[in-house]
Amino acid sequence: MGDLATIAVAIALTVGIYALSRRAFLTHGYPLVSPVFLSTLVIIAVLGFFRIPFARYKPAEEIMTVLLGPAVVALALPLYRQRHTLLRMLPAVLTGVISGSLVSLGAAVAVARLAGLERVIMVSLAPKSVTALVAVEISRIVGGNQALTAAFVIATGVLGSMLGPWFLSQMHIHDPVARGLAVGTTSHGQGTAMMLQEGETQGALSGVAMALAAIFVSVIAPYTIPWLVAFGGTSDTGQAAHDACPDRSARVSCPATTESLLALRRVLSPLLSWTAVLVHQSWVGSDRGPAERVDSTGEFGHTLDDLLGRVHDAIRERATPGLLTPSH
Amino acid sequence: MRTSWLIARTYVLCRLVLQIGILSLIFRVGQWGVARFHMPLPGNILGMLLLFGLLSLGLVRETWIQEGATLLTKHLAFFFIPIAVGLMEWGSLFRREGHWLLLALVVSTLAALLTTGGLAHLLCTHLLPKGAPRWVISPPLPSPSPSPSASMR
Repeated sequence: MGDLATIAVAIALTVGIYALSRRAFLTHGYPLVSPVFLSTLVIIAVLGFFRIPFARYKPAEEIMTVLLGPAVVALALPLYRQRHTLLRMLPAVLTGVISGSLVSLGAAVAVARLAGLERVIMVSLAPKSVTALVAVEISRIVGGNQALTAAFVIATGVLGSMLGPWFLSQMHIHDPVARGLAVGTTSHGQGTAMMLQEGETQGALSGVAMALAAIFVSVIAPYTIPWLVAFGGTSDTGQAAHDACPDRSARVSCPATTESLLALRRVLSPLLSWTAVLVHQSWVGSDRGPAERVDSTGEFGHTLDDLLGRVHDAIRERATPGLLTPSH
Repeated sequence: MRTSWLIARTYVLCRLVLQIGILSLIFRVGQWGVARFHMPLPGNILGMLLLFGLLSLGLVRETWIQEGATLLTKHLAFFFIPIAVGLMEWGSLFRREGHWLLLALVVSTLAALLTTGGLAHLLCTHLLPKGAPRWVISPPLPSPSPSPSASMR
C-alpha cells in the first residue's frame, strides 16, 4: 500500500514538473531550460531534499517508461512524411550523417581514453549524439550505464543546440541543408527543436538526420564501440574483443570474429530490405502508389511547408497566446 | 451540448489509446524479432523500421496512427526524465571527472558538427543539379515571419 502511494506520488511529481518545465521552455525557448534538463534537476533536488533514495523512485520509473518503445516506433511517421526530402538529398544526407556519427563516436571515446576514464563511462559516453531513447538502448546492449548515457545525451543536446548554430556560422557553413544535417546528427531532438526555429529546411533535415543517425549508430554500435574502447589496448584487448560479442547468452564460448561476421550478416539483411523499400519509393512509387496519396497537391514542398508550418504555429501559439488566433 | 462534448472527448481518447496500442504492438513485434533472430539492434529501432516499411507498402495508413504517434513524439522528452533521475547515484563521478567529461562532449560535438556540416555543404553546393528545386529559406530567429500555413488560415 505504501509502495503504491510512493509510486503515485512519484509519477504525479514527475508529470507535474515536466508540464511546468515544458511551459517554461515554450515561453523562453532557451536550451538551458530544456524540459529534460530542468525537470531532472528539480526532481533530483526534491528527492535529495526529502532524503528519498533512488531505489524508492525506481518502480515509478519502470511504469513511466512503458511507452518508451512505442514512442521510438512512432518516429517512423515523421521520417515517412519526409521521405521525399530524404531521397532528393540522399548523397548529402547519407555522407553527412554517417561521417558525423562516426566522428562524434570516435572523438568522444578518444578524449575519454586520454583522460583515462573507466570502461563503463567510455561505453556510456559513446552513443551520446543519438536521440535519448535509442542511446539508452544502445548503452544497455554494449554494457554501459543507462542513467549515465542519459546524462551525456542531455548535455550533448544542450551543448549542440547552444553552440551548434553559432559554431556553424563561424565556420561559414550557411547552407540550410548542411546546417540542419549537422545539428540533427550531433544534437538529436533538442537540436532539431532549435533548427525548427531557424528555418523550415533546417528543421526538416535535422529531423531526418536525427532519425537516420539513430538507426546508423544502433547498427554499428555493438561492433565499433567495444573496438574503439579496446583499440590499441595492451592487456585487456582479448577481454574487450570477448565483450564485443553482442550475443550475451553465447558469450561463454564466443570466438569473437566468426560470431561478429554472423551477426554482421544478421544486421545487413534488415538494412537491405529497408534500402529496397526506399529505392522502390524513389523509382517506382514516385509517380503512383501510396506515396502519391499523401501529396495530392503534387508539390511536396507544400506538404512539408504545411507540416512544419503547423509545428511553428503550435510552438508560437503556446509561447504567445493570441498571436495567431484573433483575440475575442 | 455538454454530453456531446463528453462523447467527442471519449471518442478521441479511445482513438488515442487504440493508436498507441497499434504502436505498442509493432514495438512488441520488433522486440520479438530482435530476440528471435539475435539481431544486435535495439528492438525499438527494428519496430521503427518495420513501421516505416508498413507505411511505405501501404499496409498501415498514416491516419491509423497519426494522433497517437504525434502525441508520443511531441512528449518524447518526458520518457527520458525518469531515466535521467537515476543520475543521482553518480554524483561523485561528476565531481571527480566532470571536467574531462565536459571536454569529451564539447570536442566530439564540435568535431561532428564540422564534419557533417562541411561535407554536406560541399555536396550541396557542388553536386546538387542546378535546376533542382530548393525551398525558401526562412529568416533566422529574431524576427520570425508568419509561416505559410498561418497566412493561409
